[in-house]
Amino acid sequence: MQLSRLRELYGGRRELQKAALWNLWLAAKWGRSARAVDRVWAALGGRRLGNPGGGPPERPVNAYMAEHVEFLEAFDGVFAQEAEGGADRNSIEILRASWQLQSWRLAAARSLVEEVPRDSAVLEPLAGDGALGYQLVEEGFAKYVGYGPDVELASRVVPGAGWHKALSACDLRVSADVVLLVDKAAWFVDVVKELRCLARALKPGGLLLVAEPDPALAPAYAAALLLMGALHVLPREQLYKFLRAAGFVQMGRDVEAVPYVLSAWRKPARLELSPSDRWME
Amino acid sequence: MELVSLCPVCGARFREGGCPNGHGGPYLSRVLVGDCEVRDFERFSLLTGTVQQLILTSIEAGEGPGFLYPLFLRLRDFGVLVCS
Repeated sequence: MQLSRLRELYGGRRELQKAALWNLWLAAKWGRSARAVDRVWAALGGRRLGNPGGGPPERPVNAYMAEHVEFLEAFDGVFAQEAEGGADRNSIEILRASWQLQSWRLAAARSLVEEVPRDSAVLEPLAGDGALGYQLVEEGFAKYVGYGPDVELASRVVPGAGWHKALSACDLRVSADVVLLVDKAAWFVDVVKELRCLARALKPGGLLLVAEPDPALAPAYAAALLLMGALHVLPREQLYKFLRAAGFVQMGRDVEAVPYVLSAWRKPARLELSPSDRWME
Repeated sequence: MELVSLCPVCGARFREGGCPNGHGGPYLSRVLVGDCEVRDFERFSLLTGTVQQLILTSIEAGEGPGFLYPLFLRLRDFGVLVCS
């Protein structure tokens, strides 16, 4: 699986570095007053990543990375309002709706499924307004399934797709070849429980394709997610522990593409038993 | 502002039910925008240039890809866009 292709789409090492510097710079700027940024530093074990200092870093020229930085900059005013007692909820709603349409986000998802056969059943947790589902159906995935607490709007945007109104994958009775996890884990109420239920929904040998933000790479993005309603800040190491606890096995190495870390996981064809279960064999 | 379904196989547009040419779902959609204009530029500027361009192009064309519909609804409900 060519996970590194997204790095090329994002403009390569130099452009990714610029995006990472912007993340640091904005997090340091907002950090003077934003609780969300404090939560990000706390999740990173109290270590504050180095502030590049001075004025704004060099702006990326790659279209995806430039839009990522532009998206983060839109939070400037909202974090300032938050510091003064409360951000305008309508502005946050608008940001959240536009976040789902960000080209760099959709490009990450497209890149993950590039080599997946189009007749695969793809499951998307917390499908939001259906932007990603739309992309996947457009890409030829006719067996797309999405779930979330409210899929009314999404089911009108992508009519006829497998929409399920469900708070959790634990409430689903579906069978998928691929689960797509793009910017989702931070929104799960109980991350391990949700991942276990996603594993249950996957066929044996099925794939879990992950593009989740790493707060160590993109602290400003992690803070922006919190402001938009995300529940957790999940450093990569923590997420990987949760994925392993849910029974997934990593395939190959992960790839950094700010703000994401991309990785591929497989549900073993035969479930690994825990040592306490193994005595029964 | 309304949505019409679009068959990804034959491109047929329809308002209800399935594709008139018998192709099964899932389907895509198009948002028919009607006459809209931006009223609250401060909030509109929260959108990135790419998304602003998508919205403005859809307004100009009178329609856009269905994935814009949820954003259009919010922009209209929050008074950023005024649509007739």
